Amino acid sequence: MVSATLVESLRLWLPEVILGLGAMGVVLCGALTHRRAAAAMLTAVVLFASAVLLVNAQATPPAEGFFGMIRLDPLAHVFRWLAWGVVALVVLMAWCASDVSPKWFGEYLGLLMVVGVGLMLMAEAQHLLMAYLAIELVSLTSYLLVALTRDARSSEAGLKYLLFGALSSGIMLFGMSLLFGVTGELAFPAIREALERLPSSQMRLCATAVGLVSVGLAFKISMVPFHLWTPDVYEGAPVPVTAMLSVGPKAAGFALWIRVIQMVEPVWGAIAPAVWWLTVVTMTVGNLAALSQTNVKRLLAYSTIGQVGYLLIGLSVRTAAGIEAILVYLAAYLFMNLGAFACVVAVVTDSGSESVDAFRGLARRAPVLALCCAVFLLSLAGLPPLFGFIGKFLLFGAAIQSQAVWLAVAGVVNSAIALYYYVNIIRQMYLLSPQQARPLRPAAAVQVALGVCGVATVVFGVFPSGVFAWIQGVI
Amino acid sequence: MAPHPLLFTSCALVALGVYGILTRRNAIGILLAIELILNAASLNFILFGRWVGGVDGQAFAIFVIALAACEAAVGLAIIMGLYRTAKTVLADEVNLLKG
Repeated sequence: MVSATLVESLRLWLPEVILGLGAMGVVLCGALTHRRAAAAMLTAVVLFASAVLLVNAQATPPAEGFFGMIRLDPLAHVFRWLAWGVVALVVLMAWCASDVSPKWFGEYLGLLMVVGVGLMLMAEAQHLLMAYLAIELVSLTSYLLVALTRDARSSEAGLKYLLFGALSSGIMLFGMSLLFGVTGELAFPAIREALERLPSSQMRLCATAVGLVSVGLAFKISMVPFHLWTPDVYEGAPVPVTAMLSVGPKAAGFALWIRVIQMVEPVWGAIAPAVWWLTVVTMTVGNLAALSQTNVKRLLAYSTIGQVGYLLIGLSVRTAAGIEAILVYLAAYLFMNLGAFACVVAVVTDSGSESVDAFRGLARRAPVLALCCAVFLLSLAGLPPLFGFIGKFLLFGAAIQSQAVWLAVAGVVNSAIALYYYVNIIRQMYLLSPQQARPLRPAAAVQVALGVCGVATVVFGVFPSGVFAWIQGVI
Repeated sequence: MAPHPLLFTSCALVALGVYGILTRRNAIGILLAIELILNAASLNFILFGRWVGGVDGQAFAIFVIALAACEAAVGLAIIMGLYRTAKTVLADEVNLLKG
């Protein structure tokens, strides 16, 4: 006898169900047939099916599922789409990149889809157990994906990610256990209620617990000082996996953190000042360290840390405008950062080198690719009229609205620093002569990814009203 | 309410775990130290679960045990992979990635 709640929850959760079952199917298909094309076809079908189900799910009113474990509200819905977008674009890149042996292609795509399910769950979690399981689902599959190339660098990156990740999730789990001890509850709404009538003598213990939980989330979004793993892991991982790590867990980490902050609102005041300072430190450290990088994956790793710093502004101000700005910027970040990584996939697959020098003279070898790359980098730098500018504008606007002008000033100063290393790549592409003269033609799937990202970056930058209308219904 | 003596045990386990992570060179040793932290959290969940009543705490602890097993499996797989290419499991001897 299956409970009616369970059936109803599964119906609401159908996109994730399809994605999860599809992942297992793809792993099996890859292991049995050893054919890249078969695994890729099945992946495409599963992704298409879950997209259709996601469109259908859009119309359903906010609901709780699985006995209050998850909450499917408009906020979760935005992040479900972001997670889907990450998986779809990364699968396109994985199809063309050659850094993972074709023998494991089924496992590769299957694990990517499992990460997708985990990302969606992170954004839906409404219960400490669910939050922990979702984070671990994303983490464990990411460790494997990072080590999938199976050369020395990839294994080392996998080990580093595993050790840092396991430590931070252990600390987070300990924080969760203290939070459970203080409040006696596990579900977010119940914890919130318990915290509101908490005696002030337990406030400090509770703030410690919340601080420990925040450590785990800070690790996921690579916030300073929990960012040390980022450059090494990004450098060692296969390029498509790096692309996934730079967007997926960051977006889902922000989603979960938004929910956690709503839950611990009564004691968040004790943590908030630290987050304010670390916001500025994160963007400054990321951008300054990026200046001296010569490996393009390391450069984008530090650039990611800088971008996370901008996003943290929206979290620090704790207003509806801040959350709205985070959502818009994450949407922009999805397209521009994955677009930039698609360019890296094209260049690395062609030259075999991950050095920034490999971009030299790209404008002569592949004019369209170079133009796309320039658009993504300028959007990451936040120049109008691109999508990245809209997101940054909203983030800094949210800071000014809540009287935190210095956060906005720090953001603007950092954007100026970041412009240097983004424009340096553009200078390499347009002003220097190429190392090889033969033209570079990116593979068809990368062209599709580039096209989607490029069109979105430009169109939403020029006409942002569509995105605003979509996001405004959320808050 | 006075803290239960077992709370000190779990805090000591966390401290030992962090100490182990910081001082161990062997990657497997570090994994073991991480298990200590996870077990400290499980102990807390069971302890607080008894306090609060209900089975929430115990259920959480069982999930933690299952996930710790998954983590060990993934960790050992990665360490095996590393040993095949780098011929070492000492965490401070793998340092190809620098910038």
